[in-house]
Amino acid sequence: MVVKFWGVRGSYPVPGIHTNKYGGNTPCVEVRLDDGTVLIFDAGTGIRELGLSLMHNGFSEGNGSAHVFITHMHWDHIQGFPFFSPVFVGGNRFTIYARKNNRHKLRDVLAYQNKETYSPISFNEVRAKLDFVEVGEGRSWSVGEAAVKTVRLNHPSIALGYRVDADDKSFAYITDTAPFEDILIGEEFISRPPDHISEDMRRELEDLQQQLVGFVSGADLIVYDAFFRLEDYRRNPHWGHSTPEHGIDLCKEAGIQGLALFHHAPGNSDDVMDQIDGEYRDKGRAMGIEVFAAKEGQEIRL
Amino acid sequence: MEITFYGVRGTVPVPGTTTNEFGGNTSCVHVRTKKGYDVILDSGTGICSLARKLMPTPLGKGKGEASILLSHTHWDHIQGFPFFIPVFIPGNTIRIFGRHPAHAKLEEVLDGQLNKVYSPICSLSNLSASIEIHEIDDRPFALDGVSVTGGEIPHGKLASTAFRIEEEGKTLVYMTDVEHADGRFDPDVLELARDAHILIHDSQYMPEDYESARGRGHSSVAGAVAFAREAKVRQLVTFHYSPDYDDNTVRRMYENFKRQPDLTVIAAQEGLKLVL
Repeated sequence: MVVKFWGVRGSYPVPGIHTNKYGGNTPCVEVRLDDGTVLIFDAGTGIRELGLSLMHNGFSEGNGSAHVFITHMHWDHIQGFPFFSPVFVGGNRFTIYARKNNRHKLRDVLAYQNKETYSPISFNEVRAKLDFVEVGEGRSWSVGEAAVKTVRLNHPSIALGYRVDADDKSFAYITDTAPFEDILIGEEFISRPPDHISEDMRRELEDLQQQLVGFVSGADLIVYDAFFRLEDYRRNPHWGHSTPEHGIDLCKEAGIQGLALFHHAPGNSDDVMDQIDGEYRDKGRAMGIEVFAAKEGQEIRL
Repeated sequence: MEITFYGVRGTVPVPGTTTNEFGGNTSCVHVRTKKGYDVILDSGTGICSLARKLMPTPLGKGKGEASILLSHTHWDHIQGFPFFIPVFIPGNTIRIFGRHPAHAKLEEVLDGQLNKVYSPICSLSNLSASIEIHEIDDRPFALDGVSVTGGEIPHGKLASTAFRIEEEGKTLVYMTDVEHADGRFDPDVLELARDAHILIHDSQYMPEDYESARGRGHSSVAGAVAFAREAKVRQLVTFHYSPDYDDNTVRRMYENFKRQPDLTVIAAQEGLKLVL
């Protein structure tokens, strides 16, 4: 199993010389199984470059297929899809998975991005065959030789975390989540952190946190939301993002030895990212966890 | 007025080492008027770095006012808006001007971007600043003493809006996402740009790439030059480059077209500042 980062940035793409090292594209991670199966996590702007690379690998002739797992529909996780060239080649096949939403069909949610008001490219121009699979949290299914599972994450409108077990290795993609600690985030708009959490809510948070720990338990690599520094998290837990500390705590609890800090804040320059990378590499090493800040273009064989 | 470029790219932002020189952010140009008023042309991702630059001004303290003029509502012209920090600071007033989009009210289109499926903001009404949305027509309007005219220009299946901004006898025209009819220019569109001191014009394609992109609503650099000469503008600024072009390609595009009789041609790049 090979993991490759194509977009590691949260919120919005940040081009510029100050992001050359870690990258400015929004989330997209490719997992290639030993038998060649391509799994794609999120469709931020990073998927554009991934698409160009796939075009050299059978997708330009319409012989390609891949599975796309979307955590949630916030723009930074889908905005690259209209620029993913393999979907404009007939013959290619994609299965797209995302969380079931009772009000909107997954296809409609994706196609809305291509409405005439917002885009000159109509969704009808897509030539590849797209299969849409709406899944819930706590589900598991097979994709070829791989076992895939989902878990609920703590984010506005609720995001899904994914885990893939294949090739005797396991990979967990847990991004866009606050820890289940200070707030439980659902479908509704939250303008500020709660003043008080009820006992029931506290128990629910603990249950969900334990569910997450069990879900990622023993993974060889976890990609984890590290958007915030601690002081920013404390002011904005209702934004639905975590810190490197939360990532390390989760790894300790779940017995994980590889942690990729991910979904970097758009304001973090390479210098800031170098500091974060250095600081948490050291902290992780002291606990036997290999921690690093994910970089665009980085490839890891598990 | 002082004109600064924050995003010069078309279609989609392209971070990476191959776009460092000209920049990878989508459309956003900042105009500071002589009186110090902030006029922002489009809100592609360039507006996110503009926001940081505006923090030391009254907009950072909730005592500011700015106007955003939208050419149209394709993503690359609005996608930075939800990250424009002054909209989250109570006390600010942000005015948005644009023509009525083809299928909905401008307010609905901008609100759709913040729909809770796609954004944690959920609705324009959750922004802390006062947001005023003005649908405009052909009539000129005034922004703190500056005269603005928004005229319709052809952009593929839709129309886009060009803005003519006049202050104390100086004229800036912002005309992006436009494809003029083959071989003849619409007299109204020419009039909008007539005798401008600076014309910022769509130059998405190299001439050799334009043929296969014909009808998509964008201009080639050759088309931009021809239009600028016909409208007798003084200075043409090429803008809205294809995301497929790296710095070398954009530089080549500019080198091939910079020498024109009676017309100065310069290439927009992030950070470029022009004083008019």
